[in-house]
Amino acid sequence: MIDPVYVAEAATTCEIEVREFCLTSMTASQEEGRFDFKFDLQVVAAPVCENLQATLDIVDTQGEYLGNVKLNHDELIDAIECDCDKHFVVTADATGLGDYYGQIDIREASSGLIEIQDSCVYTNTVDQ
Amino acid sequence: MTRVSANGDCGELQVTAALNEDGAEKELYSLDVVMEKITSEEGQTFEQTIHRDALCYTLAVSVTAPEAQTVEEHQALTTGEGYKNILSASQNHDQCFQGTKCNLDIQQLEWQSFYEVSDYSGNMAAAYDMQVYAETSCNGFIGTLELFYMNKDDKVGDVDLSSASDFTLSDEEHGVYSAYDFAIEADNLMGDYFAFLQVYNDKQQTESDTAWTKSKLWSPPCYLVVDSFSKDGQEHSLSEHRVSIDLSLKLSNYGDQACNSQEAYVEILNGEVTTFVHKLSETDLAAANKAPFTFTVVVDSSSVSVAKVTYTDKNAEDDAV
Repeated sequence: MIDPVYVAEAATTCEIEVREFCLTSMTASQEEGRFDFKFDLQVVAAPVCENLQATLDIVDTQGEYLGNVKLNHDELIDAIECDCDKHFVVTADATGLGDYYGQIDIREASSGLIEIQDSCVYTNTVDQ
Repeated sequence: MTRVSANGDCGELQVTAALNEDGAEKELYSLDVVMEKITSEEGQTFEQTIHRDALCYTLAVSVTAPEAQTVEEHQALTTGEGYKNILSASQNHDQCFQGTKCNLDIQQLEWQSFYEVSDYSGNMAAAYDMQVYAETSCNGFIGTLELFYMNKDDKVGDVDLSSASDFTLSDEEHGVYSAYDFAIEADNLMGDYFAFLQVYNDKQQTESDTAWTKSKLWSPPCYLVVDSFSKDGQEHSLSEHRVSIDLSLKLSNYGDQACNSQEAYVEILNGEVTTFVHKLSETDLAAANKAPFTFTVVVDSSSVSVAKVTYTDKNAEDDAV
């Protein structure tokens, strides 16, 4: 007799795990005073998680939040929901040199889940 | 009517007239004598403005004849002594003035300050300076001080006043009663306040006066409170490299609309070093002010020793930590 294959119970509550979140580069944007910040992101979300919302801030060495952060929300949600390693670019005001990191805030309304996590820090040494 | 006359060769007469306080030498009012009138058949009628208070007066009129005859000739006739050659006569007339009807006059009603009676949890107080003139015949006064919020239809406080207990007789001679920084309390709400003072001499209110102040804006100070900040749970990742910390935060702010630039930061520290900081959004701040706000932060396992929240507002008395 063959034992039945073990099937893990499906999660009944929304759980999200940010497995990879890293700021990998920053380059001067075509707009003066603005930079493109490239992130790697890999998120695992339980199937019960619905209508995920996410925001992303970028913080500099002094702890200042960069202004006018522009990101494609759908692209960010895709990156979260795809269960894959995804690259995406965010544009924000920045001065150039220094340490920068991102802070992602992922939410699921029905469960009230709010998860906040910092990315790895990127040190920009090139004055662009 | 007052009339003086002289018989014989008296020469030019000198007449003085004065109103004195009854029974006292002190001259209260000097009266202007018109010789043509006072020596005429009709005599002179004096008219003098006197104080409104009740008082008995003596009209004292005296006449002398300094140009009378020589001493030797008149020595035997004069009523004077020695070589005085001044013939004189005087007469007094007493009359009591019963005083005027009580007169009340609010001379000052001025806002001085606003303050909180205790702190955000208690009432606010508006303080006013008041000066009331009350004639002696009033025997003091009673009244009410009322406080209004935004408009005359919204009375938010009133206090019964008595000249005996709430005022001091600061100028007894002129009957001026004063009360400084007199406080009236109301709910601690931001807005325009103004006061209304009414005084009357007795319960029949036969004499009264009223006054309003201008509006003054009261803006309560901002108070920030961290009601609670706790760790509800934590879970390590399979690799043990990262840890998810469930935090719960409840904030409160007081001072009506005074706290208008709030910020809150949640920090994770490893000893003295901040390893994670998150600034709450306006939406999250509002949520944390309504009910405990729960969220999860994911940080390196090695970077955690303590979590801290800092709640600030540029108008706040103090930051809350």
